[in-house]
Amino acid sequence: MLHRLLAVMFIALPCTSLLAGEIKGQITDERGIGLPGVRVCLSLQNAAPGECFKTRISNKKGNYSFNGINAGEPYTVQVLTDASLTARKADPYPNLAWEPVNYTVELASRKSKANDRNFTGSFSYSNFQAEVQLGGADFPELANYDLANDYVFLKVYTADPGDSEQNLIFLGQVTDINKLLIEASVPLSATELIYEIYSVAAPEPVVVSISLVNA
Amino acid sequence: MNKRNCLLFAATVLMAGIANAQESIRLTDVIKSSGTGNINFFKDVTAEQLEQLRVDNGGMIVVGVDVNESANGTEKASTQAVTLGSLTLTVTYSDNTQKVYDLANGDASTETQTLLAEDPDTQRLLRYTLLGESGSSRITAGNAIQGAFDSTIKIVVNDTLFDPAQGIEATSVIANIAWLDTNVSLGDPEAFYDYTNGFEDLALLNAVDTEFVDDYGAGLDEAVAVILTNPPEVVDPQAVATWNYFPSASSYYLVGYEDLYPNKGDYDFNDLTVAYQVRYGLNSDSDVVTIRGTAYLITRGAGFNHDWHLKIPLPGDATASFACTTFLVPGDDYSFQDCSPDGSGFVNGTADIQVFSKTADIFADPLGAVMTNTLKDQTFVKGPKSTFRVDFDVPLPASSIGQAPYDPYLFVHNSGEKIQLLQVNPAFKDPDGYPFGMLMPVDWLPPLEYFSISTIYPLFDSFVASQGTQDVDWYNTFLSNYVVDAPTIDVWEW
Repeated sequence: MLHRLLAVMFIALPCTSLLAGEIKGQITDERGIGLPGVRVCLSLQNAAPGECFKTRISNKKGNYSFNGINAGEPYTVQVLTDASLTARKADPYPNLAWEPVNYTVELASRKSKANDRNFTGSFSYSNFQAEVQLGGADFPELANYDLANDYVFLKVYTADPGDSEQNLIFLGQVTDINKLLIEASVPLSATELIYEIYSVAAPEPVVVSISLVNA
Repeated sequence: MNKRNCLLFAATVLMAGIANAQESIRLTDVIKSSGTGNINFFKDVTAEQLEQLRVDNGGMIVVGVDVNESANGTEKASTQAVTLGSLTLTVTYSDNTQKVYDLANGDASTETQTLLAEDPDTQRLLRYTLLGESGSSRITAGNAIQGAFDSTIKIVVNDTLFDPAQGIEATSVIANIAWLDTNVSLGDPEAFYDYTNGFEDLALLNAVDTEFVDDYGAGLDEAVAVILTNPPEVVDPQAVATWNYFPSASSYYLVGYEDLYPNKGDYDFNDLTVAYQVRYGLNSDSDVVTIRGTAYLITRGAGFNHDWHLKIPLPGDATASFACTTFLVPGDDYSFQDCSPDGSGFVNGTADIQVFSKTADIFADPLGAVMTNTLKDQTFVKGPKSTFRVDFDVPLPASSIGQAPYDPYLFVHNSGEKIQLLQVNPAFKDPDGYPFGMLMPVDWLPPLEYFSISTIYPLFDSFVASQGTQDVDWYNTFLSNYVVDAPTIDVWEW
């Protein structure tokens, strides 16, 4: 049995290698200087936005590469713009737009290489809004509430600096922390997101501010 | 009883039932703009009629309410609300005895509730609410009551009001109703569930109209933070539980375009200015059931004719129904044109909605000028409004939908060019880096016609030349005599 398994592995490994191609490129700014730390997303055709088959992070010179790419199958390559709050805070280039927006790549044969899939980042002149995604982990106080039995409500908003008016983004009952996903598009001028949690059992709202530094 | 006689008996009973059914009755007294009402039922009904309505509703007096509120918080024509603060129903009988039914004792209820703080408190307690809408025609309504009334108050009255055989007759039935004075300083939900404007018309409903009004659920679809008093046993995955707003419930994205692309032209950036807002309706699993949007045309400083589209990336296998309506005249719900997409509305996994069509035709200057809202001393006119909705056949995770502000683009009929925001497609800039489509701060003021944005906003060139690293607040410095007169939200929204 062991011999048969080894034989199968011996046969299978070279086959995979022979069918695999490569996609490479460089991430630069408009002056041609390499940008490190940019996440690049390789996705299958018809994948949902942000759903990556593989991801890579550009190195110090801005280079990235994907190996082991099957021939005869279309892929999309693009800079990953992850809007989660954690990712936004870690994104060193939150205000850059990428040109081209994406590449469609289909390697013709097992030896094919696509080595010039380069992206140029430039400031998006119209980027006065930042996209942020908030999940259950961004509201740790929810763990203190009985979501199943109390009516627990979450309210999320921003307030412009010097303006008491609330810009309401989300207001609703929370029944499952794991399913909670709020998308926000906040002005770059906003420095914080504010959320309130209240329930039948705890009617006095808990008010918390999330810093949006770099977001 | 043979079969023929049986049918005749049944028909007789049915006819008698129809003949005796007490119709709903509008009341003279109303809830005043002060938020209170002293409602004397016997101005409009007799004890016998009221008893018939009570029995018809299974031992309840049901008061229909035509909610009539001015927009506050997330309130708008399609959804508005008030909150029941106090209610007593006092019945006086011919023998001078009285019975009092009180909300505080659990004698009254409505179909919806939420947690709200009463002014000046901050604690949010469970309260009964009444939802409604205005300006819509209910094509399914069977009578004027069903067409006008939004919500119901149910008062449990177990005692008979009229029975001559037993010498029972109510001589006075008076309801004292007060809406809750919510603490609007907290924003929503208190701002949504406050009372303003008034007054609210009332009616006493029979069982058929009660069922219609409750089932119709006026304003329920778009209301915030709703708790159903009588929730269905099985949660409907297509029911909206909450709303996620982009950029927020009270603000808009503002986009401006130069339509001579690839030529820079006068670069006044007012060729078309559009404001739009989008919201996701989420079910109890936080999946997106529906996408709704509202858009306004603000300026049209162009000789060209355009269509304005909003393209929203969706998963390739999503299916949905689309609806889009352009309302042409503020306050006139009957001057509109359909802007629903042809066919499925999907193109390669995106929803491409032509929100405004042929802008020169639908947004012409009323005095005949070639351009609208961009000429010096021209009186600002409110532009057309479009509302659109994408209702998914199967709810989608929000993460599978492209990110706001999406891809709002201009199609120029005269040149055949499609112009996207630089943010969406960096190719849309001239050799010097000047964009042809920009997302602006919502309070940005477009330059007057023929005045370059670089002239009217002196820091704009520095902003562009520095690749956006300097003078990022360029829009705060401008020549105030050369911008369109105050096109702020309160001016163009309707």
